[in-house]
Amino acid sequence: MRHVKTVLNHLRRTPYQALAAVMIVSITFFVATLFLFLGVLSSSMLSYFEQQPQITVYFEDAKTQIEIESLTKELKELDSVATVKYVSKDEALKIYQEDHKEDPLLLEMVTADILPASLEIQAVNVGELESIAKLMQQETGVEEVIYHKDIVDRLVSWTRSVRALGGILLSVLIVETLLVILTIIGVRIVNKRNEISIMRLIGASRSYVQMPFVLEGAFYGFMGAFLGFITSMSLVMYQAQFFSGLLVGITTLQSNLLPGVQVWPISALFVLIIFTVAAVFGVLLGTLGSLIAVHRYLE
Amino acid sequence: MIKFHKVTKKFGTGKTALSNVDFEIEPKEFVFIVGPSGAGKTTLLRLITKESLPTSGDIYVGKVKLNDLPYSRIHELRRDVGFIFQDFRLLVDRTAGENVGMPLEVVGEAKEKIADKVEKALKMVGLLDKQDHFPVQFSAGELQRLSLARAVIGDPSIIIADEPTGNLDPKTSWEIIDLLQKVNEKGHTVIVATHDQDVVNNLKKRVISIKKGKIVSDKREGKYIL
Repeated sequence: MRHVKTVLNHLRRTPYQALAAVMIVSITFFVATLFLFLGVLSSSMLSYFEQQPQITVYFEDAKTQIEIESLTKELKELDSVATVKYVSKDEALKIYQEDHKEDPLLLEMVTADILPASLEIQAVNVGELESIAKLMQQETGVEEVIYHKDIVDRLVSWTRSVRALGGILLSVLIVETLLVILTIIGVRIVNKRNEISIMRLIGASRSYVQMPFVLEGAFYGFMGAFLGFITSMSLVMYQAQFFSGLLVGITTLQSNLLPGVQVWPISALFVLIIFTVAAVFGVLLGTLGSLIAVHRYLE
Repeated sequence: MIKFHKVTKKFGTGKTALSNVDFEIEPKEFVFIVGPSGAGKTTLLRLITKESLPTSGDIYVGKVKLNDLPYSRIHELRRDVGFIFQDFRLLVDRTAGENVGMPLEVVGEAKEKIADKVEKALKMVGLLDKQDHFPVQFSAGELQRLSLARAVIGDPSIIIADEPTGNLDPKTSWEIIDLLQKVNEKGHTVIVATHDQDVVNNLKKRVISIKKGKIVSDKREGKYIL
């Protein structure tokens, strides 16, 4: 409690230093939480598309079921193929009826005869999509091959960019944050050198003397993380429509990294997780900066 | 018991502050360390608290050999030593009571216990009514009394005073010395480094005289001879 009181005294006496520290840390955490959100979002989207039947092959009516079953068998033997699902004309009709159950006019107009039989092929990984698609296009009796190449390509590229840009930006900002906290705590220690020497002479242990400075650094880290989190999440909420557009028709997206956590629309649990990660990381970063300062200036 | 065995202290500049110093101070003794400015008195006191390290020789405080005491455990030594400085070294932003209670605060003593002991210590030095005053509101003599109260509050076995009367008029100086004697009578070892001939010659205590870093005399009921 005494240490907390000392920290509050430090903050009250030099509010501008404290504000500068919190603002610098908050910039770091604005970027960090934004990229954390984007990283989880892109990764979950990629996972979502990877888990979908990535290639759908529609057959001409002339293609017999025996031929399709033979093709299915061949496909299942390929290392690049994870699963193959045959959708007959009748099953296609059921799916169509389910999708359009609220539009009786459309239901009346469509029969199983006009719907093509198809194969839904899931590749082992995204990189295999193109080769499987080409293979299917060369097959006789194939009417059309559809796969989410563009989306997946864009997502892979987007995920890579988010990781690379986020990594670079965060590295620079983390170093900058550490230096700022180190400098501010260092100045504080130098200003209180007389007091520290008196404390040491009357029997204060090293940890007792260090504790207020370490707590102050942790406080800057936490406050910076909190403000950064608030601003970045506000931006995400404000740009909700933009993010919905990015999701290309996905109404709800679950996280692939955190099972059971809904990423979009943003759930309270996901927000809480982002905040917890930011807060813990903020406290650690602040503590690390102040510990470096303490060892640099107190020894 | 404090024991210096062939202690030499040289500074980085090459100056020898103490040379081959040998002495022992028994528990509950009252000892003056006297000598001209630059003789090595303060250096000697700083060695007792490990504020400074000897270049050679051994120093013992109680059963602890300071040479072997790690930096991380110096606070344990200092909790058994009370300090009084010529420049008081009180914290200007803390009240008299808070300053006096600091040695107990740093060891995590309970608030109520600190308040109780602060009251007793301030009563002993006659400043109980000024408990909530800040150091700027005190005279030099009062500041030194506060400093003394802070030195004794933790009930250390050793009290070290470095020129405690250096900034005080003769009357106030005697008040401080009287208080130090009372503290000594309660069983604390008291070591006083001073220039004050009048005090030393009238008190008839043990006097260790230092000149140019060497002990030139060490006498019971000694006089200021330099």
